[in-house]
Amino acid sequence: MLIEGRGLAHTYPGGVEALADLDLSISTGELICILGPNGAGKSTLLKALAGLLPITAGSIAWRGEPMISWSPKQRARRLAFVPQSLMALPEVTVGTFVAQGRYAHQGVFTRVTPEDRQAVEQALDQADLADLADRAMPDLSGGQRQRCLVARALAQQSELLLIDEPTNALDPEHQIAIFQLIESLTHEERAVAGVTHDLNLASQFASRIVLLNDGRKVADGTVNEVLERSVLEPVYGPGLRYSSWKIEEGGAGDSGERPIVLPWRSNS
Amino acid sequence: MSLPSATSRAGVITTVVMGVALPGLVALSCLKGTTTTFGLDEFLQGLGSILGLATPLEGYRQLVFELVTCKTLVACGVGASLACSGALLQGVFRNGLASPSILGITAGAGLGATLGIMLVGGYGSNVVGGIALLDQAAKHSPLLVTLTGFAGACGVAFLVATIGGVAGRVSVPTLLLVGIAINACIAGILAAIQAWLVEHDWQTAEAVYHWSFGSLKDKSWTQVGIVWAGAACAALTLPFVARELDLFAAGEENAESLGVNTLRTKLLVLVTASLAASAAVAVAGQIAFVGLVVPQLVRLAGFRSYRTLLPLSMVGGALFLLGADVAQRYLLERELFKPGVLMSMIGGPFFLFLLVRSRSQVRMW
Repeated sequence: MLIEGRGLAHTYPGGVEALADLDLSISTGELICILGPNGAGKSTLLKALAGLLPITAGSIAWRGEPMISWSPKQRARRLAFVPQSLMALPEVTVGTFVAQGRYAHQGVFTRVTPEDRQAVEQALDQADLADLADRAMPDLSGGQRQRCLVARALAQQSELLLIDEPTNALDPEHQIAIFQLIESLTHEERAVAGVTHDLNLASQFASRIVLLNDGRKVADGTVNEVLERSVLEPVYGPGLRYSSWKIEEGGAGDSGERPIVLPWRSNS
Repeated sequence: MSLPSATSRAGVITTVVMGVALPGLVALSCLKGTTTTFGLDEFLQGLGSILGLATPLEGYRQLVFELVTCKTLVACGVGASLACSGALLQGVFRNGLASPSILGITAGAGLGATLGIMLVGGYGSNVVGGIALLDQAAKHSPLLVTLTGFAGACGVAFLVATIGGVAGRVSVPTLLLVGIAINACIAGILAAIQAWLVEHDWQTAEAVYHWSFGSLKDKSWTQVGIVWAGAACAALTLPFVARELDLFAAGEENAESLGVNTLRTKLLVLVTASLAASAAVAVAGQIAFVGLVVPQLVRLAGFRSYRTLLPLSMVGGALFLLGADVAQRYLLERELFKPGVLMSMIGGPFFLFLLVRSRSQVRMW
């Protein structure tokens, strides 16, 4: 078990309860998709696990060790958080941006080490950004910027990646590319937990799906266990159509058949 | 878009140019007082005398030389401190329009220092009935004025950070409005103090008046020490906040997720910026816009990373303030404008230029 959250709760100032009594564990090699409607608490859960939001109740343990006393650097060496977007566009080159992921590995007076350079080059290669290393961040397309965020997290060389809506505003080709990149990480002794609204990408790539509603976990299981009418309808309502797609190679799922769930216009 | 970023070669060239320019400017400044000019031999002898290596210049000339030297060193220290303070505040508030004067930190230091001047000017002892401790304090006036200035600057810095930030984010309009409000409040309080002083103690009133427009004249070695101690503290802090401020540029949460201790960084930056600004203000009075203009000029030259921006701002601040003063002495043959007035005349239009420029450069991701 890499990380384990027990009884997690977070209440925003003003009394809005974003998470309540939520248990979640993530193991190495897993790609967990966290699903749920808007306001379900998905991003809050991710930020709570990343230590960016304080939990108002519960506990989080890393390999059985409490994380509460960890410094931000200790935390960033073990888990990387990839935000949906940044508050402001940094006016740096792609290479410099990705190298920022090495901050937690460097001391105040230490210079850039060969390990740092190697980690950055490897991250750029993995995210297919090596040719863009000298380009300015503002020059990039949305898909390229998203890849930069993932690459920076890869440069952190952490065992767990927490990714918030990685395919937001990307075209289908880039959505697949990002998920394939994320999936490839799980083969390298890492784990990934990603928030997404795309049920069908989750169906194709997730090894496990966690479904949230109103800050609580309502389902936690394989793709076929969670992406079905009896589980989804109480959360998303009746506006979904269900089908399946037979795939030749089983991939990370538990059968060759993957559910397809489509939002559909209502008849009324 | 091509990104105007300086290469490491440009950084080396800039450092060399600045490294040559600053001692040159310091020498030029020491050679010419307001009414007295020194030859190169006198410069060397005067300097030797200060260091205890030569006999003093004849008569009053050694005294004048030391005053000009103190003025030069104060100008360098004040320029470096204010520019560094501005660059630090721009980093922590993620806004190029932040500066100690615009946010009211300089005014806060001013209010604190004014109260300090009143305290050592006689009022402190009178108000609290001649306590021995305050009589003692009067003997250490520059230090006391610095300390009260520091208290005022810190108070305003934390007020701005508290009111201007909501849930870790800083709203730029709120920040600027908080600065306007604080500046207005303090200006009112200072005017009231001034009016009261004019009626009750002309001498202290005059001291406060001269000081409020900023002055580099008639400084002592103690004051040189105070300004340079503030600048040195700021310089020593830079390695602990520069990389962190680079990560702050994309948001506080972004920095924290990469491992930055954001609370410690903000605290360190605010205390350092307040200390540097208050040491400068306590010695030289209120000199606006250095903290705004200099970091922006360094940024315009392509140095965007705080690892180069902060040290270059310090050297640039020293060059800027001393350069303006030396230019005035050599070109006008007298000190027509106080440094605060001179900086406002340059800084005001530059601030407007930045505002107009930033209107067309608002980019969000």
